[in-house]
Amino acid sequence: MTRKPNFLATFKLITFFMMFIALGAIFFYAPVEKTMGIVQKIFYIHVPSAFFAFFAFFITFVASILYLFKKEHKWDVIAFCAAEIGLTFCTIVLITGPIWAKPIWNVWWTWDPRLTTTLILWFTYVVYLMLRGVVRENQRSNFSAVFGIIGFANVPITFFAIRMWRTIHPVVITAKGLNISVPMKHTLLLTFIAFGLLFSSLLISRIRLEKMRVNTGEIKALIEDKIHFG
Amino acid sequence: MSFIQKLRAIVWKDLTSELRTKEMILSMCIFSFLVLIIFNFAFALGLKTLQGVIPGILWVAFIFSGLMGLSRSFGAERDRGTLPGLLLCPVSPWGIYLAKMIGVFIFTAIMEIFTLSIFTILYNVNLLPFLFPLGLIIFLGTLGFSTIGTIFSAMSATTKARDVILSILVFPIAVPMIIASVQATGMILAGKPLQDILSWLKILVAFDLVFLLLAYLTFGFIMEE
Amino acid sequence: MGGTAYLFAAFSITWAIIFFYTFSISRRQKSLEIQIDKIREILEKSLRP
Repeated sequence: MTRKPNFLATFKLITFFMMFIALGAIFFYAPVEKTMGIVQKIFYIHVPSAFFAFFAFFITFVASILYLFKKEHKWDVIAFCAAEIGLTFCTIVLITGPIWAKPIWNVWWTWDPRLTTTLILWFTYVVYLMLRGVVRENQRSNFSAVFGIIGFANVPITFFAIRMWRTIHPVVITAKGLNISVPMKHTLLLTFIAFGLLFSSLLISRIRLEKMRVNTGEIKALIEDKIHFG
Repeated sequence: MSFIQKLRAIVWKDLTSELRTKEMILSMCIFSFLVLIIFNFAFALGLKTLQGVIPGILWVAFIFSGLMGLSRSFGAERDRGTLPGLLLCPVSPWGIYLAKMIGVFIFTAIMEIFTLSIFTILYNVNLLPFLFPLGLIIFLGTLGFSTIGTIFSAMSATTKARDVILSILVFPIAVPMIIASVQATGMILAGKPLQDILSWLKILVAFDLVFLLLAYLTFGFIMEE
Repeated sequence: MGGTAYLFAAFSITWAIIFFYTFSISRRQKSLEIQIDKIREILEKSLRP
C-alpha cells in the first residue's frame, strides 16, 4: 500500500508539469489563427476534452459489460468513476464550445450533429449518475451497468439521426473550417497528451477514493456490529 | 407450456386486468387529447403555418401519454406486490420482458389510434390517404418506444420518484427514435413518397433491433434481486 | 478586444472546473483518511485488555 501512492503522486506531478507545458505551447508556440483570431485557441481545450469525454463513456460501456459478465465489484467502480470524470470533461466541452462559437459565428449554439450528440451524451451521464443515486444498493450496479451499455449504444444512432436531420434543416454554420498549420498540430498533440494524463490521473485518483470509501464503509459496518453485538 | 403460450398468458393477464377498470387507458387517452388541445393554444398559428409543427405535436402527445402506460407496466406490479409472483413464473426474463413490452405496445397503440382520430378532427387533416406509410412509421416508432421504455419501467419501478426517473431514463435514449418518427411523419403528411423516407425508416428499424437485442442480453440482470 | 475576453472566460472556466473536481476528490480523500484513523483508534482501544 505504500508503493501505489508514490506512483500516483509522481504521475500527478508529471500531469501538472505537462499541463503547464501545453499551456505555454498554446500561448507562446502556436500561431494566432488568421480568420478566427486569438479565440481559436479555445480549440486546444475543446477538442481533447471532447475526445476524452467520449472515451470515458466508452470505458463506462466496457466496464459495464465486464461487470455484468464477471460480477466483480471493481468493474462497477471503474464504470462509475469513468462516468463522473467523463461528465466533468463533457461539461468543459459544452461550455467551451459556445464560448468559442459566439465571437466567431455570432451564435451560442448550433444544432451541429457533434455538439448536439455531445449534449445528449452529457444528459446520459447525468441520468447514469442520478440512477445510481436513487436505486437500492442491491440493484444499483446491475441497473447502472445496463444503462451504461444502452446509453453508449445510443450515441452512434443519435449522431446519425441528428446528422440526417440536419441535412434537411441546413444551418448557417457549415464545417468548422480550420486551417491547421504544423506548429498548431504540435500544440494540439501536446494538449492531447496533457489532457490524457489529466484524465488518467483523475480517473485513478477517483477509483482509489471510491474503493477506499467502500472498504471504509464495510469496516465501519463490521465494527458497529462488533460493538453492538459483541 | 410453450414460450408463446407463456407470453400470451402474461399479455392476457395485463389486458384483462386493465379491462376491468380501464383506468390507465382512459387517463392516457384523455391526456393525449389535452396535449393536442394545449399545443394548439401554445402555437397559436394559422392552419398553413401549423403544418410544420403538426408531426411534432402528434408525437409529443404519443410520448408523454405513452410514459403513463409505461410507468404502470412494472409500477402496478410493484404496487400490488405481484412482482415476486411474476418472477416466480417459469418464464425466462426475456419472456417477461417481451410480454410486458407487447402489453405496453398494445395499450400505447390503442391510445395512438384514439389520438389520431381526435387529431383528424381538431386539426382538419385527412389521414386516410396516408394510412399505410403513417401506420408503418407509428408502428416502428411505438415499437422503439416500448422496447426501451419497458427496460426502464422495470428499473424505475423500485425507486421512489418512479415517474420522474422513468422520464429522464427514456428521453435521452428516445432522441433518435423521436427525430426519425417526427421527420418521417412530417414528410408523409406532406405527401412525399415512401422512397424519400427510406433513410428514416432505416434508422427506426436499426433503433428497434439494437435495443431489442440489448434488452434480450441484459433484462435478466434487471430481474435479479 | 472582445475575443480575448471569450478566450479568458473559456480558459478560466475550464481551469475552475478541473480545479474544483480535483479539490473535491482530495477533500473526500482526507475525510476518509480521518475516518480510518478513528477506526484505528477504536480497534486499538478494544484490543487493549
